[in-house]
Amino acid sequence: MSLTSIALNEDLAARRKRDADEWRQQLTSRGILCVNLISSPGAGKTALLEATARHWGARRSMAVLVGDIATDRDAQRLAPWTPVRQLTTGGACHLALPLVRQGFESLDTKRLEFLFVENVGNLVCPASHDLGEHLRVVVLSVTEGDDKPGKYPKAFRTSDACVINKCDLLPFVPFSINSVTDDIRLVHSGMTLLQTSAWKEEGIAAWCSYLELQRERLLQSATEAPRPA
Amino acid sequence: MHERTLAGQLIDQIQRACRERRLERPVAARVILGEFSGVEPQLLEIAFSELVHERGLGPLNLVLEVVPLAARCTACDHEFAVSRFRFVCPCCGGSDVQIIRGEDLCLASLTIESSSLKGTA
Repeated sequence: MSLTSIALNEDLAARRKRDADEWRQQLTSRGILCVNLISSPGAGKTALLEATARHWGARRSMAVLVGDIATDRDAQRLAPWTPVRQLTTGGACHLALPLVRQGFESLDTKRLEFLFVENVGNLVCPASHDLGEHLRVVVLSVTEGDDKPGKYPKAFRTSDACVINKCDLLPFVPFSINSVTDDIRLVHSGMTLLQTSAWKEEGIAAWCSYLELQRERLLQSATEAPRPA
Repeated sequence: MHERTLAGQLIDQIQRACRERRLERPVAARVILGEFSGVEPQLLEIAFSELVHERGLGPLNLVLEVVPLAARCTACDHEFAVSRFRFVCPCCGGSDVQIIRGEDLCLASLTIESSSLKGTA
């Protein structure tokens, strides 16, 4: 029996990419900067968002969609400071766009400026999933060790910025800012690096300024973009 | 878990392609898998084979073609294989580089038993 080969050349992620691009465009047109926060479990994503919300207070409008495998503990922590919805994945190791959109629909987003998506703690799978964010930020805490960028290259290559958190613990742990910076530069030379201690609320003003600048640039690019014919 | 989900999507895509082209019996699917796609080839093969068995679709073989990661230096335009995920140009030492290959996951082709080929319009 003879066999015939049929060429297809179909990108398996084409639909997901298209959906993410459309969603990003919708958020852009509403002036909302979407930030996807990824990290290992316990790096301080929630603490960073608590500190961000406290820093901005009523000056900026933010909301958080927080993903976890189980419990609404992170949403409970954030609720005193910012509008938040818990997204429970029921075992999945990363967030997917349909769940994010569902969470977004349940928020009051009329005057929203910043949407944070706190991904499930995991440096592997979230790196392969575009959630329609404008910025992907990887949070790396100093207690994890300075060897992570080379070990998890996709997380660092696909992120726009790295927040090195828990810097107040630097005197007590074997973590070199110079080493981690060199390691990051090998994977992603253009990455923005920020140092924080979310717990002590150090470095938060610079982090917030970075986000404000990114949103200004987004608004500017949206204004300059040619209108569709 | 990730690879099992992808294997399921791959099988759905194979079945959809067969429906659209009126192909009855695919016996092999060739998939191009980038080294930087975030997918582990061996786990994908295992998950694919398990799902084919569970759904009673066999025999349907997965033929993986792994594409190594490659980049182009924006400073000197040199194209190079990215080794050990170090995105640095071996020619000029520049680190502003763009990935040109090795990120894709693509259903490249299907092998069909010719007796089932009814047309590919």
